[in-house]
Amino acid sequence: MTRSAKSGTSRTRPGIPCPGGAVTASLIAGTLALLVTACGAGPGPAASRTAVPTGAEPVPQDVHTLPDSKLPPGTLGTSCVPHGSLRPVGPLPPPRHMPAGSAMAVIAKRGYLRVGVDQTIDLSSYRNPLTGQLEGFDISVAEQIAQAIFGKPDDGNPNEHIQFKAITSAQRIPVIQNGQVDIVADSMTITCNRQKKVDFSTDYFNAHQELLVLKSSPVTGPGDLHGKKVCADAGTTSIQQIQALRSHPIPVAADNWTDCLVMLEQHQIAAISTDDSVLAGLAAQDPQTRLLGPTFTHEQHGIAMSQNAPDLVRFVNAVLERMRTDGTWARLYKQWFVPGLGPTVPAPPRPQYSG
Amino acid sequence: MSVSTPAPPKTGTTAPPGTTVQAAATTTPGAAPGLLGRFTARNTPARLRLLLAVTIAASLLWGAAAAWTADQRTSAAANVVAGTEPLSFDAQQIYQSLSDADATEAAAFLAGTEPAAARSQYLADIARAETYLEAATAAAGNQGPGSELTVLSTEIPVYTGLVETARADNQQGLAVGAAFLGEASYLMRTALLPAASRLYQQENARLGAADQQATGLPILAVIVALAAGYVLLRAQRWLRRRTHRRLNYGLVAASVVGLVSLAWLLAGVTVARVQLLDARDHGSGPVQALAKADIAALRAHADESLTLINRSGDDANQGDFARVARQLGPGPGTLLAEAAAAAQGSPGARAAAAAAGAAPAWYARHRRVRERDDGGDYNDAVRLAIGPWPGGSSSMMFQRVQAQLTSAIGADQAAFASAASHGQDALAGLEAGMIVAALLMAAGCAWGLLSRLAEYR
Repeated sequence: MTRSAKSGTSRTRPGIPCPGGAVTASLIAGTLALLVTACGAGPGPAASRTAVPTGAEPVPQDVHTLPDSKLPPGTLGTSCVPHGSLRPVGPLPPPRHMPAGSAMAVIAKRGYLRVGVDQTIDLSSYRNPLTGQLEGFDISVAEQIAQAIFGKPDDGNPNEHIQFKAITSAQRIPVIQNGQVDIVADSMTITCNRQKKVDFSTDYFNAHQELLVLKSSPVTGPGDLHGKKVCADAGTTSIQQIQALRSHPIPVAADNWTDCLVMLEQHQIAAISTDDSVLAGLAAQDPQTRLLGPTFTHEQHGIAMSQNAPDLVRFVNAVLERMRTDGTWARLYKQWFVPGLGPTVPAPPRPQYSG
Repeated sequence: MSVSTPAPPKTGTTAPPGTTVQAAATTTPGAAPGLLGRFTARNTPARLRLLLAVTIAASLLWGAAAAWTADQRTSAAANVVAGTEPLSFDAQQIYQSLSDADATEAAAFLAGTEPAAARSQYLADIARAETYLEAATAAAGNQGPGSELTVLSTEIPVYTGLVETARADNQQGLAVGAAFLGEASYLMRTALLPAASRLYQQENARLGAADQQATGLPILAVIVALAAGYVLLRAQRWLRRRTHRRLNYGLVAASVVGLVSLAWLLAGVTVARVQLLDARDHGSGPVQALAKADIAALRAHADESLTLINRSGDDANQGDFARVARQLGPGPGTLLAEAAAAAQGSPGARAAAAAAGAAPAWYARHRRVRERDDGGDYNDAVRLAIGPWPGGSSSMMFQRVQAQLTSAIGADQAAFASAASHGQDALAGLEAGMIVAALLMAAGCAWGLLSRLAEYR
């Protein structure tokens, strides 16, 4: 038995004594002269060099590449204009004196306002890893609403009377419908479809859907995206807009906006497309990215509430009205968005009422 | 042993004892009854020569069977002790370290700024995983692309790269850091840990097969021993009748050597069997059950942190915690109960039982973490999860469970090593001994029968 013949057919682990098959065979043959054992402890066959694995970036959890929308390009959202919200009745009641029997009285009795928020959108609503606190424009708006019910917090903690519930974009409507939260303040666009399931406040922020690309990217606008992967959160109007683009990009749906940023940094996708306020928050985390116009849609953000609490909708609209007129809205915009969206503070969105 | 040779024509009746001396070439002794009688030759010297061949063949056949048995046992025992069991242990250590790295990094993220102790534990975990991976690869040889070992060696650097990116972002307070950690953890759970788990299962299956080979009953050797003994016995009876000598010293010596070698073989194999079964029942068996529980506990621990870190409030990780905790137990039929049962009577029994006893306190603390987090009290939830918290954090409770499991695994691993090496010792020199015994037997037969043959010259 030669070494090469053995090593071609079997592998012997180090540390295991030479197998004695040869000994046995020779004894059976009665030829003791053959007692010489050929101990083929050669190394295993060299791994084939032709199929070396190619490394690849992993994909974040729950990321899906979606098919093209069957909608005619460019028609999404234009077929229906959302109706206006409920008009406030009279002046705001003073804090801690909510009208008896109202949805606000229930909240006041409970001791805290339950708010569904995202934790991953820098500038709008995110949990600061260094402080553990939620921060952002949406959070500040929620704090204004809580203050209108409970008054200024005694210990300076603006979140004293708020219970935040972190949700994904796709969870925004279900948590309202099953009563897990009182309001959702989560960069949520007011649409006709959503108005069938939840009530919205008046428009409290006007966003524009744009693109975020790497600075090195050759993409200059939505027209350059043919066959390229474009990421947005599942369950958002943004992903539907991507599906409806004339250039037919490949929509990639993620759970969180930061998952899109991870994939952009890893060159797994060509662009992220959603509201400029969200994109500004992502761009703030990576100086190698840039925001790309032109704007291809206008998104009116509203605070979502249950359809069973019209008094709460009117109350929230009254709070937003006060924020628009007393300068709070402009102060908050300046605080959160001026660094990312440019120095001009726009006028607050004009409210539209229909009842 | 088959009697396929056609018997030569028989013309006479059975020759009476004592007539052999005068027997000429022409006499036909006829068929002696029994096996040897069929090998009838025309005269006594021819019969003696045949007898010589048959007894030597029987001796060598016994030697072959005994040496084969000894060799098979020796290499199977060595395979268990030096081959498959260490590989199974390596695979388990790879899984354990990677899983611990995942859980440690997740908990460190919760703390905001990473605690120094968590960082060094993570680095130690990665170093440990790499070391055992290297050992496993060296022992198993390069298995080419697609194998579990290749997946592990190509994906561990990707994982560590993502973790470092996540840390750098987190240091700057960027939310994308958590997303990088999420991607790393997802890679860990969907590629690395499954590969480590498959490797562990493969090595365990190999260990089971080697264990079975090393501890089976030596049936073939016993059958051959009986046959060889029968041949030697019949040869001596025939010689006694033919030669009127009570004993043929050569054949007697061969028989004695044969009996001694059989006794040695049976003793060696039996002792090795008892020791290896003990090594399995009080060593590798409990280690496997304990390792399963340890792995499940680590997974649940990482789930708890990931639920808090995953800032989207997605409760997939919490669902996973509940599922894994149900499997872990300690109720009847759960992993902790099975580990405690498997470890009964082993050195790790007490620690295994203590691990099962410590789990409910951990779950109770975990429920409080969830209550705080679901109640919107994120910062208290984090403090309850990773400490500091008066009365102990959930992490601390988990560590109590894990410390007991680790101690039980260590004790039973040592029990395995000791018993298995005793088993291996019982087989030392057995194969060589069997070969020497066979040669001595053959020599005895040759001497005994050649000296009878010499009387015809």
